Amino acid sequence: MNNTTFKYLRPISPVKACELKDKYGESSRFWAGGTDLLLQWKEDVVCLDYCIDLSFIPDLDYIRKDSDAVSIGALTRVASIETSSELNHSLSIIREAAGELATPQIRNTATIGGNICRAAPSADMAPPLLVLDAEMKFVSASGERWVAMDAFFLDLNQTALEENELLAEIKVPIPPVETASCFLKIGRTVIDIAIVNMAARMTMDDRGILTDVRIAFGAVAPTPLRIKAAEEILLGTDVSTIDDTLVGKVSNKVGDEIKPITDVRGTAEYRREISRVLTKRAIENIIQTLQGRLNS
Amino acid sequence: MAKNNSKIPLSVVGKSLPIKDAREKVTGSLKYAIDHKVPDMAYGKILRSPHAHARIKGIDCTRAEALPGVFGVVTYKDAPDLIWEAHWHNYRGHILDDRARFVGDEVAAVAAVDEDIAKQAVKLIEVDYEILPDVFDPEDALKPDAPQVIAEGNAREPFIVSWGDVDEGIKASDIVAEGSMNFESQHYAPIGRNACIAEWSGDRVTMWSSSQTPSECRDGIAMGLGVPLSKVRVISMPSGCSQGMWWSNNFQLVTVLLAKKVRRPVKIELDQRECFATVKRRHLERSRGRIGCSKDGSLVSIEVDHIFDNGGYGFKDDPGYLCADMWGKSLNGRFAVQGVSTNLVTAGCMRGVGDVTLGAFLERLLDMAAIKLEMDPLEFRLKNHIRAGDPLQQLYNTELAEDYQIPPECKDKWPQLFHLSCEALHECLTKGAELFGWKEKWKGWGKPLAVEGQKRRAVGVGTGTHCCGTEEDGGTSAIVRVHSDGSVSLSCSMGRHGQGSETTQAQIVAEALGISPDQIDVEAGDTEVCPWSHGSVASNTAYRAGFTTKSASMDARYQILEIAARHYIKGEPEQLDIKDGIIFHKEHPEQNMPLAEFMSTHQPDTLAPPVIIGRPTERMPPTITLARQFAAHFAEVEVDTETGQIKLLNYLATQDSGTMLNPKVLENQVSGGAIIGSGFALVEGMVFDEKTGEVLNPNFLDYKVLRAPDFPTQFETLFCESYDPVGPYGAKGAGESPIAASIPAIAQAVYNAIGTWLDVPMTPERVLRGLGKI
Repeated sequence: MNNTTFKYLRPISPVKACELKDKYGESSRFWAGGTDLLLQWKEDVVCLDYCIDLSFIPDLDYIRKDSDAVSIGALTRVASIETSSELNHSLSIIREAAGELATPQIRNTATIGGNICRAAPSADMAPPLLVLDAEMKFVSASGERWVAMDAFFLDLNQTALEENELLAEIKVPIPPVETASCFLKIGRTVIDIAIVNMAARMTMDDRGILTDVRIAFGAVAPTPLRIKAAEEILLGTDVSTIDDTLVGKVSNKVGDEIKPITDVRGTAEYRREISRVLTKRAIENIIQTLQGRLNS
Repeated sequence: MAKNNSKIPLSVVGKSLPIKDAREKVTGSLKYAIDHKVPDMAYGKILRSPHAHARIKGIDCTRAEALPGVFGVVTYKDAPDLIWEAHWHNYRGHILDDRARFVGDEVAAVAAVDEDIAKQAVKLIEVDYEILPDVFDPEDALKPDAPQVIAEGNAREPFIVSWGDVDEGIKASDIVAEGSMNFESQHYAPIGRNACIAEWSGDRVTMWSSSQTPSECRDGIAMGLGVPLSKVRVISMPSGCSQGMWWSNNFQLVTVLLAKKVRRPVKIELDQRECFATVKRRHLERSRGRIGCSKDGSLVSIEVDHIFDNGGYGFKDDPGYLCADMWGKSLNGRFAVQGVSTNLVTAGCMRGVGDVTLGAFLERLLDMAAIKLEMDPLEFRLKNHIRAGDPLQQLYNTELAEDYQIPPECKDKWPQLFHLSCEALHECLTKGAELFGWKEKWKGWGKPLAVEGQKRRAVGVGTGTHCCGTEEDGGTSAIVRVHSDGSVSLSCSMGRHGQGSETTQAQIVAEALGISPDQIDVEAGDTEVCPWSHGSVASNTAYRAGFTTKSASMDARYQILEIAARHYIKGEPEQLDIKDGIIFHKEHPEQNMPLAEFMSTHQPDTLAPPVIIGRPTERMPPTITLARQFAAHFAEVEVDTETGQIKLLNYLATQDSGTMLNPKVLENQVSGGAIIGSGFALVEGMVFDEKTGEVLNPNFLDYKVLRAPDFPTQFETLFCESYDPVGPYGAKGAGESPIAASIPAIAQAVYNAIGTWLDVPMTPERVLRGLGKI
């Protein structure tokens, strides 16, 4: 049974926060935007005897661009991401995903770190970060380490973060110029948790050969995930030769690889079917952009 | 009255006055029941059953009672052995008994110094349950060996209406079509949660809660507790959009019982899950039937079998449909409706009850016939829908026909009963079609208007109807008091759930009394002040409350004119009038007196107290036997045949609610109905756990309603006024026909896009199944 009250702690540095987490272990939780945590606590889903509020830690809320990457502080509000001019070109899918996350009120409060660390299969911020090869900076009382986004999600609601670690930053490398990306989401209504969300990103060389392909899906498995078997089909192909048959092959591969479940938002069958459709649409969208660049 | 259909020039009725509490609402200062507190109040929490069907073998509250801060616990042992029944059989049962009939059913309740302690105490109550077999599917629940949910048995008496002979009708038809349609259970999805505060003083109880039906709420408490009506006072507070949810609900009676036991005021506040999963919902409904027509498109026979579930405590035998009257031109008709109890959360009336579901199925049958005839759905409806003066077949063929006869003294005043009083539906259809561009957009059955890649656009038209209040359970009354300064109080038990009645009723008073509406205030929720009324249900208020408000106002007016003629202005009362707050002689306007001066001057005698009290003096005809409201909606949709998503592109809602009392209030009703009807058409449905019947989407995260970005920006309303001889200044009901026209219009548009009929809601998944893609 959950307590009806919790102790409220307000660390002023990431290290202090990690020390508190070390001390109170599983009975404590980091509070970022709190939009999900509060509901989970009220519904007795999580234990929250100690609430470690991260909001007062300075300098975890930023979007900074340098020559090779854009770095996003873990406490950056989803609304700030939605409107950031730093996230342009093929990084704009991060912005699009932010714009489709819940409601404006929630986006004003929720953070990108919270959305990712909650590790919901449907987290809207996850597929763009997966296809853009983001890296995550973890800090703890004893130091820091970097983990690739691809290795971040372990299982349903489980991440590579240790009990005493805190996600501090998400670093998104700026892809080469000849890159195009796409984010797609299907919900029951405009404002909804995804029935399925996905992102794709492809980079070609100057001859139009795909040198890098990423396809990631949410809400079709216990975690958001890359569909590597589908990526491999496209890797090394010439964008001018990609036809319906090949697209169909990739889409079917996605359908085979995912492990969707049935819940109140949709059945496994429906998720599988629209995953194929979204794969097709994303590839068509990206290839059209790349072909356009090749011809211009 | 009935003879006078001519429109008189109106000064206040028909104006879009802002709703009375608009300022309070937008500034957040309006107080709802959830905001209400009384001194020394305890907080209550309800223990709810984890089982779908169980008998309580033992219940031990010792640990809960011992928790510091707990004032007491009530269980079924504290509840009187009395059955109470809510409006229109929406609930029938004890306040608490030794059975749990659905997951979430009330088992016990705790009162404590705060809600947290009450919550902890609830978890300390130990209940020994004997698990009983359960049943969730309405058809399973009808089987002879099904577990019986309530003592009266699962099956209600079938409600059958018939005229002519449907079998002969089918034989005589040139074309015949058959179909079926299933509806998930829609929820009210209340934007505001509700609370109840009960306080006993001796043997008298006062209860504050948000309710559309304050009078009936009082009656329910008296019935459930076994106390006289005079000992119960209900003060109904405003609620958010209620749509039939907050009438009288058992959690209110639990609060009253708990307050009595712990001898202090108690507040029970429902959380989001409780609002969604423990109060009530629209029934799960299934329709099947057949239709027969002659070659020229005239209806020959309609036959429908309809089953709906009542959940744990609903007790309805008919879902309340008026749609059968709408197509009563059919020479033969048979409507068989069957209510059945299940171990799901209680089901009851929701906005447009029956007409949303059974009405949509009738429209589907019409469409199926029109397809065979290759006839435009608009033409088909215009040919067959009920017109003013036509018999109300469905109603005429029930025992009501014998109950409702015109009394001799009313022969000259009342319109013909069991015949439609007035109707502008044909105008809604024709003018709507013109505005919508129907002729250009309708391409034939199963033919999209446009195809672009995997997306197909198409249009549909559908109609909806409902009553304008009914007489069941009693009449409707109002009191008008004119104060010594000429200002006026109207007391009419209507509740305040955003429907705008306090504004429209004030306009009626202002019109009848000849005064400014800002001089009028309305009490709509205090049973100590308001005479008994149905409340704001069954599209009752504009029509029936409006009639009674007008009658009471006219009574007050006559009293004023009578005294004025006797003492101040020479003449007969009939020669005097009131306008802009001035009493004057119609032929000698220079003889006049301001109402305020009159009220403060005239010396009271026994006949005329300083406050003039007007009461209804006219007898109201049984309104169900004559008046109907109508809606015709036009929808343009885009169906993505790969993802199954349906997007509304363009929507026109037309409405016949008689004279518009307040166009803005009416527009609010119509657009709200269209959005919530479209929500049911496309996305809204409760999800129940297959094994336990538990509601799996009891919040706005998991239960979706349409929001602004889901509804087309190209949305229009069009009003076509008929003039009802009974309704105030010709007005009729408005709230419930708009929600009934959405499903038919959208379903038809979807059919024209993809060539298949779908169950409701028409989810993307159903679209893909319909297309054979999954």
